[in-house]
Amino acid sequence: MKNAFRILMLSLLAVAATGCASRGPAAVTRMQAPGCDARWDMSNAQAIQVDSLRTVQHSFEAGTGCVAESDGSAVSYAVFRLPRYREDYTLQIDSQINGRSLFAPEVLTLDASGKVLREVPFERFALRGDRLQTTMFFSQDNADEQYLLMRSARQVVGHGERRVVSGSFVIPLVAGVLPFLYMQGTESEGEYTYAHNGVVRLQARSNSPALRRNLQARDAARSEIGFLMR
Amino acid sequence: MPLVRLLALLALASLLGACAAPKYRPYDPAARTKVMSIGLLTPAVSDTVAVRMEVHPGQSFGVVGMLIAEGDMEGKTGQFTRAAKGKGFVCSKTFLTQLDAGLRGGGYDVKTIEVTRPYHEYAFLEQYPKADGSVDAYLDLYTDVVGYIAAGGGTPYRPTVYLNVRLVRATDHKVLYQDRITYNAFGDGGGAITLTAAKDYEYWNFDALVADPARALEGLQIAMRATGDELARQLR
Repeated sequence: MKNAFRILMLSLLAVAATGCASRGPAAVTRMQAPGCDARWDMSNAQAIQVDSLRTVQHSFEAGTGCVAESDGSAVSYAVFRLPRYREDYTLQIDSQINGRSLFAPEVLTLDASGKVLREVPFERFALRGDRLQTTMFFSQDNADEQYLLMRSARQVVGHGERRVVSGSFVIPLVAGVLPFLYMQGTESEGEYTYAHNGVVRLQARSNSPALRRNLQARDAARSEIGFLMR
Repeated sequence: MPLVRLLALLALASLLGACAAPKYRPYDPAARTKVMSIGLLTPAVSDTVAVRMEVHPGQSFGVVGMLIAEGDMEGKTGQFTRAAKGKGFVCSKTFLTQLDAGLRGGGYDVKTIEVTRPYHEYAFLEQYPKADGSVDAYLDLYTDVVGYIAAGGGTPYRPTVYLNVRLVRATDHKVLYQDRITYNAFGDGGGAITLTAAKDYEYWNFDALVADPARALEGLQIAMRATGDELARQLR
């Protein structure tokens, strides 16, 4: 019985120390033009709503939603319909690391005819933990921007980055009659590659101060509930 | 019973949520174009070069273990700080130089403004200088950590910098941008911008770290430069 307990504890320790192996789809770093659209198609644009309870999520997958480039290569893309302008709002865009792959985003805003009005290059995204993130601002000056085009930033696709993930774990143990907590700091080193595939999330928030405060409180409450229910 | 538990959790979560202050405020490009000159307020940077473990093995052994762990880390911090000072390394001065260079590289006209901060208090200023027309915004900075941090007993010490940033408009002190930039963050960084530490400057034990302080300080300077460059990139 005692041995079984020790084996269990050692197994737990081994799992916690080594961490879980990175899972997820392989990074797609090459795409060819044949079979891709000649120009972006805005007819299936996914709508974004301000202060919606649901975050808009899009998966860029190999072989779907790509547009041909002049050199015979292609990039993946998706079009979103921006909210009709009523008041100032911000749009937060996240691209999350999935296994060893990270969708390399760049963003354009388009008017109703598809003309490019604004560009947010890849360099405007910053890595925050396991995601690349940027925030766009929309005001009366941007009222003509009706669509948001997100595409893979080909200049960085295929580029690998090193990443160290640290954390800790706690194992409750009993030595004699005294219970104690064994704590250990851990880390694992890995690499991710900027890719044409991956998952992005978009969330639009109004800039109304009172509403913003409520939404921040709601998000914090959700996060606390998630933590407590775990 | 489950309903009561859920209600209690909701009440607790609401209370905690209501207290949450926004740590991050993105920089609106419209405000960005109006800021050409920055008043770099003397940052709150400790001249102590920390040598710590996020989870020290001693912490597993109750209060006594925690005290021993704290004593161990304080001792190592003191020893490394003395070695750093012996090499003429002053955190605050090095940091200011790196930030100034990064901001000028970003096209800003930078003016260093001396401010008095409470001794040993690392936080944003509560009051900003009155506008005299010489700068468009004030950049308020403080660090939580500058030093070498290891996640635990079996992981290497790496150069670490946690920088907190706030840009306020000079005229009305409105916060234009607020963020946290971490070099070698522990965990997921809690929403901060996370920069991965350079592999060339990792030390598997304290003896290796103090054996060549000049090289270890080089690693710290790289961390400061990377943090400053990232700040400049955010402000561009």
